Amino acid sequence: MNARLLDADWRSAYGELSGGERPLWLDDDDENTAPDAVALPEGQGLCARGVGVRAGTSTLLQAVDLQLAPGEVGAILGPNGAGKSTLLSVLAGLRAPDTGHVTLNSQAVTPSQVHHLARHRAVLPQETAVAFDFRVQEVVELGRYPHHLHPSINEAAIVQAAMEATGVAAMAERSVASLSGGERARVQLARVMAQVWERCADGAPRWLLLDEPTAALDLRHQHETLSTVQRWAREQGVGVLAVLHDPNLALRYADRVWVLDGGVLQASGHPARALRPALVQRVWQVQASTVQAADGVPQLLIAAGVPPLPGKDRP
Amino acid sequence: MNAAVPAAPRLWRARWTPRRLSGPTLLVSLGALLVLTLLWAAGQGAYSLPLSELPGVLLGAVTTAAPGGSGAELVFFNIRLPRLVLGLAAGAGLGLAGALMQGLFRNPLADPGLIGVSSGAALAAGATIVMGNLWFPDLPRSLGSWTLVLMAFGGGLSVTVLIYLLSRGEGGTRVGLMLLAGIAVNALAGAGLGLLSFLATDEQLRNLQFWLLGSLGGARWSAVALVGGITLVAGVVGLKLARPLNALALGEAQAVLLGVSIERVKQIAIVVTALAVGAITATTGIIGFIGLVAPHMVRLVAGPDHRWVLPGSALLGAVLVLLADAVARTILQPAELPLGVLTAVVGVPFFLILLRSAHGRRL
Repeated sequence: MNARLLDADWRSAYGELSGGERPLWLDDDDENTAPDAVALPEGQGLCARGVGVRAGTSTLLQAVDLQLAPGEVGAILGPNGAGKSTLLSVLAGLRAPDTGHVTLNSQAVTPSQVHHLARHRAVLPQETAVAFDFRVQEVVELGRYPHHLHPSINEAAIVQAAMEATGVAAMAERSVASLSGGERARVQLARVMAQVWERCADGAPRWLLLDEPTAALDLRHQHETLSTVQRWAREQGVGVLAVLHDPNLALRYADRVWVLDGGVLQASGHPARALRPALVQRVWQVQASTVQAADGVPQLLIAAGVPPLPGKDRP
Repeated sequence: MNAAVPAAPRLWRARWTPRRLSGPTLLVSLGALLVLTLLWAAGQGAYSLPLSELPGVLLGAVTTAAPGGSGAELVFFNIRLPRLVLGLAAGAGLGLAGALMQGLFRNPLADPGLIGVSSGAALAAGATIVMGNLWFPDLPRSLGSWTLVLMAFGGGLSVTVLIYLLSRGEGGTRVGLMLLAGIAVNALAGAGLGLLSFLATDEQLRNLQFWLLGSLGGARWSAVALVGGITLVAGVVGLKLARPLNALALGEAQAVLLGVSIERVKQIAIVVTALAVGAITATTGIIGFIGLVAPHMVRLVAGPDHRWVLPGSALLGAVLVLLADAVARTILQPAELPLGVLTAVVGVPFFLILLRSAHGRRL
């Protein structure tokens, strides 16, 4: 199928990108956020500059910079309430930032323009409730809504392939309401993948924003899901940005991470450089040490218990 | 990504995936049912008109130059036919509006009355019946029965606009707020009606009660043209919302991310519902239950895809209203039962059976 072909044109447009060779710096000793290094011209790809969001008197996000190239897997990490989902909703265009701006494929992302992006960008929500008694295949077909005016020649094949990619093809005829939480999450993932399955006629890069795609999944499906989207990014140049809770998943699958705490970027860059034990300790307040998995990927070993804190809560 | 997982015995499978009618099958079946209902209902009434005479009556109208030849023709074209067309339009409009509202509110309990159009129309009609002579002694005479229709139509639209404005927030219309505002304003209108019935004379009270329970008895060609025209336009516009409403089932945020212009969908759905239900209620009084039940029945039989639920609900609504009205005008001859009573009596048992069947097990 066409969609499976490796797209090469985006590489020439953005320069050859590969995770390990980019200039990476960022020490977890840095208190302030250093600009993350992207082999992309300013404003290309998915780009956020100085994004700040306030709700009443509290600051949800402050001066967040982020830039992701097509074909890369990015991960947003941070403890509960760090502003991860807020950042993702700003990047998706659901929420207007109070300061700063977001562009996608050099187009401004604002709530009033958000529906124009639907053919290039899909967003997996954290909550996956579906009203009424829709079946799995019908939900995945809803992902093709943005294309109903200009349908692809292989609409049915796309829906089938998306269901197979997340392992829900066998339950195509089952009602979504009858599925477990994890199965439902995979149905939703199939839907958002179907939404951007094929490159549009204009050839613009496609994007997948995932809000906690692994939250409801068992271990095997966590890894299958992330390796599926990683392969997608590699083979088809889709830009993938996921909110993750587990630094070890980011270490294994992400090309680039952003660590948020209290709405402020604490670290960013290559996962192995950014997710140092000292940073993990400071941000998540758990003790961590670096180890290597059997396949050589660096992972974090989290020690039981919270390290003793000097008297008060975290700064 | 399909690693070898042994297939668990799917004992629940039959239960979770009840057989569904395909969309086209559903529409063809309902269309056939509607034609049969029309043929049957055409014969029912104080003046019985056997089915065998119907072709003669219809042919007579075409061939006879002077209209109104036989008694059968007079009855059919001046009384029976407008009533059938009004029932058809009212049922279709209520069914469609119900499906639109349930889709918009993502809630199977929503019904067209929620946006205040019925209660607003009822309050205005009540005020006209009870106080009309007080305020505008000349108005009823100059406008005839149109006074009530226009007042009810205006009342329904005004209350809908009020609820719509109440539910506006930053970033658009908030559907949850609209639901609550609708319930609150409906309660207020109910209190107003209660006050009116307290003030009413016995005769006015009878009129009011009759209006509140609905009837197709007032069908004249002028009223039929109004309701039919508005319902037709509402139908054409409303059916275009099928795909956006499907996307909306995933939630408002996801619908927006899929490219749905959510504010426009809300506005169109509300305007279509307010106009159609406003016009219907103004001419027939309140016909309850159709807007709630018809979409449910269609979903239970054919699934939740709005491309079939919207037209299916319109067809089924028409069938239900025509059936109920045919029974209403024959069962207690020469008296006529209120239609609202009959729609409930016809609809509820069928509805409950469906709910208890395999189709409705997971509602």
